[in-house]
Amino acid sequence: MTAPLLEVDDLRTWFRTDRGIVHAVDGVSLTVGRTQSVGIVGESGSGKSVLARSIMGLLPPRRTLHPSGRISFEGQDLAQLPARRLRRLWGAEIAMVFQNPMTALNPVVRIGRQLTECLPGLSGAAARAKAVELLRSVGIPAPERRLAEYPHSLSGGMRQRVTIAMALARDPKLLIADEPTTALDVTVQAQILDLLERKRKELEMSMIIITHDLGVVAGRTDSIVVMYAGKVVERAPTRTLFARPRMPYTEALLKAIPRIDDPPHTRLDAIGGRPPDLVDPGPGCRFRDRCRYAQPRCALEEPPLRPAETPGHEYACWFPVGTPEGAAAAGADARTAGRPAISVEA
Amino acid sequence: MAVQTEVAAPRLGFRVPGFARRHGFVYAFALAWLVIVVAAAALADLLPLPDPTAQDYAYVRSGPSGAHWLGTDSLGRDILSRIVHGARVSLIVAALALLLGLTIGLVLGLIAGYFRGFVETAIVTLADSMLAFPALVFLMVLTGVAGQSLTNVVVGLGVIYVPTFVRLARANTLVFAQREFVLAARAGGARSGRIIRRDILPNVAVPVFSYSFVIVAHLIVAEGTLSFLGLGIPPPRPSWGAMIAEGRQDMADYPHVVLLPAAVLFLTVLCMNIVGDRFRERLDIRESAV
Repeated sequence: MTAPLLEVDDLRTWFRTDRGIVHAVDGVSLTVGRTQSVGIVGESGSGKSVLARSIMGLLPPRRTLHPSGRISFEGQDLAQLPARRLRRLWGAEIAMVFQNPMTALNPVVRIGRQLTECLPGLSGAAARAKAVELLRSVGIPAPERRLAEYPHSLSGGMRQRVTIAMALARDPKLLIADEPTTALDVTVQAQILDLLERKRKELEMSMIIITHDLGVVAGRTDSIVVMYAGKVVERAPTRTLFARPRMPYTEALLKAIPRIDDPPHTRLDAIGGRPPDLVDPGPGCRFRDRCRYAQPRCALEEPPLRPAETPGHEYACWFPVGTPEGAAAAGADARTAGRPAISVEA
Repeated sequence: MAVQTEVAAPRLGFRVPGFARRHGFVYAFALAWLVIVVAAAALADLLPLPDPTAQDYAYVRSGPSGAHWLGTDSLGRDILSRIVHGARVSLIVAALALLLGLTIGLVLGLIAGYFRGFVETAIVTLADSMLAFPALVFLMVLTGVAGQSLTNVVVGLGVIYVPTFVRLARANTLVFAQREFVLAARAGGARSGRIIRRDILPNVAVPVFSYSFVIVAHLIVAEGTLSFLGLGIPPPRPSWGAMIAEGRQDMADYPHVVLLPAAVLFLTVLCMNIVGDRFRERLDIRESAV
């Protein structure tokens, strides 16, 4: 097997704030193979967007600390590359699709010019022809006419198609889609995701889809990485993750997906509480306060990421779901019902 | 729809022109007045008017007559001609000063808002200290030291409005620099200069240009004030402010010498503000729709 396209190793991205240092991404490792698609799942504030922006070098330099970590793309360490080489890499080799197509397009510049700006080396008629071809390839009807229009005359879904066309303009090897469907209508979501998947296959590129919605990545990505509070808590091939989640957080996320065959007025199984403060998460498992199986040990020791029996599957939990330890913890929980989930005597 | 208005119009006794019907009488009038003023200023030399500096001793301080439609001033100079030629001075000074203030202010504001940090602190501090300095004192010192000339008045007024544009441009740059299309441009490997020029400038230009109308109105008044105080364009070139100043002594007996240029100045500034406001409204609506 050849070297993976993208390799992130023990990446830490911290931000300096007035309240202290925010550990937004805290020791994340990630590999994306060629033509592979990876989903990164987590709720707001889990560090998934910061991870993407770290890869793209899009963080505010004065506030950002990188105490450790290595990001290598095709074997070259991005931190070692000079700014000029990096600029050639971005857009051409690694491209990004953003969350909100309403703000990702410049409102006062025509679609045509925004697209042709992504096509260096081409000018005039050639650039125009390529822009039309790009728009057509992402399923925009009457592309010739769209070139002269401003973003406000396009619908949200159409705009997202335009931003995808812009990202694909230079045949990147890696596409990072940061919540590509969050700002869109549910009916349009599936179309955009199918479009992304189709283009990935056509162009043989790798893709990272970042989302808070497990439904988005279900059945579309090769593997899924679940992030919580700046850390990877579980990673597995997509099928395995859905069939046999180990980390209680993943299980809770799966349960929180509403099902169409539930009877009406079924209460949604939401995860209570909020993610921990990333300024000082403290020792122990970061999910412990919201975990239904939390045990005293969870507050004292942080579980490392360890392999499961299923291949390519890793999780960070002392009492994983579907194992004897987990069952014991679940039983203990039943016995202590009515009392706080954890109580640590000094 | 069109048929109905055609039928309804004769009842008013006259047909409302289409433009006024769509945009309102006040706006149509303001626009028409500005067009007249600008055209008069541009074509002043071609119009069949007497020389603005020629003195007609047969008609000193005369009221409107066939020879002098708006009368003459204390030196027998034709007031209409002086108002028309004065419009040229007022508009040239206002336009050039605006251009100067806008260009410098916009560039500094974009740099401050985009790069932040030390550069921003330096530019904002400079702009704030300029705002704290009394404008009139600055202009008096400038014309006192460098002499009274068109160039000095333009430079003086332009410099005074630099901080206004710095603040406006910086505030808008801060907003647009946060937008995802800027992030997308950076993700596409664009340099800072290119992002400022092609992504931020077109957005910031919208509010800045619509505000310019209001600033032009301010500048016309400022030029009038300077001329009134004798710090503006040196005589005998006519300027509205200077005309008001010159007629001041005889105001009780010959009010038209003062009131006519004052009325033109007032009307022009008012119309400028009306058009500027409408401009801003329309641009705001488009902005929110996007």
